Amino acid sequence: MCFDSNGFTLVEALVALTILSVAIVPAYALSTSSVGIAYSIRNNVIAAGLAQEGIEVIRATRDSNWFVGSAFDTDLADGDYELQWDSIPPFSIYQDRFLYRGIQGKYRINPGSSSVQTIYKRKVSIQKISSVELMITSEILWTERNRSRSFKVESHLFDWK
Amino acid sequence: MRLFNSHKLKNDQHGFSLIEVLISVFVFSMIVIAIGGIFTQILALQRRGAGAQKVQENTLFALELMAREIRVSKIDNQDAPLCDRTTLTIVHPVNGTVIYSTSGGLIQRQAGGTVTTITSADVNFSRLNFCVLGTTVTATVGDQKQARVGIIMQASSRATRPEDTLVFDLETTVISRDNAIEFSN
Repeated sequence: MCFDSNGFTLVEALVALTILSVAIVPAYALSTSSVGIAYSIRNNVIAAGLAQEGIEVIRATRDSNWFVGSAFDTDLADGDYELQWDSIPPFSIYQDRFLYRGIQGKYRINPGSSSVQTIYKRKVSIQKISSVELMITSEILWTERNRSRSFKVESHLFDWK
Repeated sequence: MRLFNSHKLKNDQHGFSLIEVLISVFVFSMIVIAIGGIFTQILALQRRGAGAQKVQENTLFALELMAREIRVSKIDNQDAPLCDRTTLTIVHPVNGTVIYSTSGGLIQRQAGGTVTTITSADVNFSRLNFCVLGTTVTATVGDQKQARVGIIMQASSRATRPEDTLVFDLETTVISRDNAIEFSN
């Protein structure tokens, strides 16, 4: 076997390797980012619904106050609360815990029969801005691929009917 | 052969030896298999992502349509505190009686006797339940509660391979803004 045959030199090989990796790295980065897209879409859609629910429950309370002739902000003191679709005052104070999903797919505060813990926490905050205005924020918090995510909506309720 | 011989093919031009060829083919095929595997995975992810997008579009559309109608409608005697209602009947000031239900995994809206399917055949709604509170009324008296309707959906994309589907468990609540009966007391 002769040793005067010309193979690749080290420099050539290194250049080729560099070009190859420059081409592959972005493609790989793209592919890994696509891993979570479907979950990301799902979590956002669910969070949007849950956030809206928080606002609507407070609004229902405000309306019911009117119906019985109470002040519009009765039982709606400043603070952070946790609630579910059928909550009525007094709302329980926010305790930084996960929502559960139980019978009929219903999201609930407390675990019940055949319920599963979800990844979501819901914090509904009430802040009285003036004697005729309440600011309600409803924030959904969850963790997605080791990153904290949140979805927050805000609504203002007035003493106006 | 004589042609080659006549040019005196020199034996000092070395090609690859058999071992070299075998090794390079082996290495090449390893790389191709690895890349091919990653590629098919990416395709599956892409399919799942596209499916999730379809579910998103359909659920948001259906929820928005229902929410808009529920907000202005009269909802009477539909209470379902256990969320076991699968059909919701509301009276819209313009569209008249509107009924929401599912059939074969599709959401249907019935208004004025006409049934319209409002979601795509690409998405399977395996659950549409309504939780209803505060709609108990008699002819003139309300229950002094604002009508609230919780909408629970379970939706997934219809895919041939089960691993391409992702199940969405949605819930939201909408309250009516129709206060006529309550303030007429």
